[in-house]
Amino acid sequence: MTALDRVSDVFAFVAKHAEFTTGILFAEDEVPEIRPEEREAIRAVMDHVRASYVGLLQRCRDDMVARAKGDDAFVATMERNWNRDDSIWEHGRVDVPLLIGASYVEVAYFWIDRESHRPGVLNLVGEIWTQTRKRDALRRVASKCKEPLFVSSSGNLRVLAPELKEDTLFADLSRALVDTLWGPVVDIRADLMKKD
Amino acid sequence: MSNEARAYVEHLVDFGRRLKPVAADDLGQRRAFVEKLLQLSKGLATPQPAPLADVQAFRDRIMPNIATIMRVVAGAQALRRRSLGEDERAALEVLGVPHDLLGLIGEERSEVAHTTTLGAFLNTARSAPFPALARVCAAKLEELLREARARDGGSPLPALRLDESDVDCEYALPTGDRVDVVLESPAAVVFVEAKIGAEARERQLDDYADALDARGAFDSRHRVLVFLTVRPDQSAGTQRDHVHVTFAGLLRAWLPLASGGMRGADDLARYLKTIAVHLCSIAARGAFDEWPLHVQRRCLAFLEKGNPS
Repeated sequence: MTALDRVSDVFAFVAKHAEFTTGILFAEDEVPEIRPEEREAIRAVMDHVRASYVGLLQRCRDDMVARAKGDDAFVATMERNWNRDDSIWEHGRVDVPLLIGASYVEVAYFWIDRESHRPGVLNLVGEIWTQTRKRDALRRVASKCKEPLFVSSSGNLRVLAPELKEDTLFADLSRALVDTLWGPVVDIRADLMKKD
Repeated sequence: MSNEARAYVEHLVDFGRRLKPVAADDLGQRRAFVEKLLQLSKGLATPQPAPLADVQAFRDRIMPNIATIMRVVAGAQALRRRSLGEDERAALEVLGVPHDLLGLIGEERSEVAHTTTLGAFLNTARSAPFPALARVCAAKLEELLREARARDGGSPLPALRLDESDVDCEYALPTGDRVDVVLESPAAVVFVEAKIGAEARERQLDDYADALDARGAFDSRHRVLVFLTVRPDQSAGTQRDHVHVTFAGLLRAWLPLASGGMRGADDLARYLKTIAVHLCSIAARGAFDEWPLHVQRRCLAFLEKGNPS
């Protein structure tokens, strides 16, 4: 058996029905109203959903590391605090450190969740975050960012992957995010390193 | 390598992280050890996904029936909502206010923003923004402390008269530490240390207890150290006498006050919405009907439950 590399029909369904996924699938033990055979089917699918979820986020992280190849210090930074599968699943997110001082300074996050831009479905999201006191570099990039990159309500740079449709390769979804984020990632990091 | 080997390496990583360094050199060695283990664990096999055959039941029983399942679950929640009492319905209205106070300014998880806001709702001084509302908020806090003390099995608290309190936020101690909120009433001095996400620093509450107990400080008034947290199981890291309460407990205690007509009640409602959305995850943006199903369910469970913490 090979690891998942694309969106299955089941994962596409799960992504398309965000209300069901967050309200019932992920909290089945809190919902007494579903029938026993439905509960059994939900429990049986969870390993597959988890493998898809974690696999897709891991792919985003791997692509970020691949982009940094050749810059050993950058790769080493990304590999610090490497999120394990359990924590990716538990937190619903993978962290990719981009610059670390006494604490995180710049980080890329990837997760799968609802987004107000695309209500009703789950989206694969990528975001660049910097420490509040080091926001100038991020703001400078944000002020001239263009679609598909946008500024989130909390002031971070965010991008959404295309919809999680059946048979879409994880590699294609990840590439859509990493291609968009990479320029700003490098730009902000260089600016922050200059100032440090 | 097998998944068991991976799990073993991950166990070692956790173990390495828990080791306490005794000197700076050890810290470096510990970090190097953990990083080596992390490198090693990356090369190990990732648990394989379940075969797609295992998901056939989902395809057969769930995918074609999604609309029915959603209707049944939503219907059951609507019935639950309808069976709420009058007070719980009023609380639901409060939690459905359009905006949350600290979320509007992007400070929804800032400890300083929370404690400053708490201070404003507890300060009964005439110059404070809402002295009349603060008197009832402070009285409710005193009840909450009393209940928490009874639950923990400690000695009962005397009358603290918190409804006559002046409040200081970021109160500076001679040691240079800053206590989040200090309430001074004619009968008591209460230090409140709030934690949102972060852990208490080592000996933090011991230091505050020392400052409270210092001879000559605060005359003969009763002294109470309060640890206010998001997580009910968060450790205060001290053996000294203190009362542990949660933001959820405070939310429950103050919700009835936000639906009254007192001056400041609207602002209190917006602040309680901040607590409910960002600290307790029992509400979301907008009114109840706009919230995701699981958030609605958590909120109903919260309102139906009698126990404050």
